[in-house]
Amino acid sequence: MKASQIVVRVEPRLKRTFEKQCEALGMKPSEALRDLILAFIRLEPKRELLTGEEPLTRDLTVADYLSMSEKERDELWKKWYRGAEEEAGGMEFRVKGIAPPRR
Amino acid sequence: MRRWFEAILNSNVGKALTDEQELVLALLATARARDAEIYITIETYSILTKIIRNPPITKAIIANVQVLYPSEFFRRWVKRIEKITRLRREDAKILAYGSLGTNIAKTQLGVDKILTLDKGLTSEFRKEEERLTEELDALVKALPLSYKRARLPEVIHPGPSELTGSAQESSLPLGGR
Repeated sequence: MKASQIVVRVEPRLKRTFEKQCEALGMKPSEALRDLILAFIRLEPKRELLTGEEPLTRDLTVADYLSMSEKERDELWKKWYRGAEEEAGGMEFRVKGIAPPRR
Repeated sequence: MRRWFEAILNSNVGKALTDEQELVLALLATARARDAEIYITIETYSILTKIIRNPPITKAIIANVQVLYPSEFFRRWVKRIEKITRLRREDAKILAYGSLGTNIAKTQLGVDKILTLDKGLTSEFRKEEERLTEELDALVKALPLSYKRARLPEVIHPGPSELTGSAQESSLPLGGR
């Protein structure tokens, strides 16, 4: 993966808590944060970069998608969403018992 | 959600991330650091598993989220949201998931926060929040006990300041496509 930098601004109290947790686990906070971010974008450990020619959908490669304009992507996601909505077919599920308060 | 998806594509072909993609990744990392649960809707899950034909990309997202399903009365609440606001159906549904979405075990109702980069959704929500609260309270009164805890979520258009906030929040769902 190409080296890049992402600046993460974190509330001081959360930062302190995070640093304490890292210390307790013997981890460096900066590395732990990097790993947290990588966990959301890394495909597989040690995987090489994509060429772009990999299939993304039945009709599009990764490169095809990335070459689309913002408007074209927006239209595509709308179309995908409509398809997904139709497939869901208005299903609804009964909630079991009382959900515990989360707030 | 879409910015996250595109961040995965960009980063894995070696392209630079956009500001919005970086922001989304920073939010996700912050959520994870706070042990918050991250949700996508069943519609988004369906796109990722049935339209996207690249399992590693799909897996990179699905491994990090839980799925929200519509509970009973969800459609009724969507219709009311559509009557009250000028939101498109899709955005009304996102908002409705925040109150009447449930997890796979059907033991949870709604989420704490909806994060969206759609300023229209955020501003319309803020404009009609009071009425939406009243309408949801009225709807919930007539519902079974399991639904009495249904509340409006916070709807947030994130900026760096949204990386802060109360540590009591436990869920950080991604709204929008």
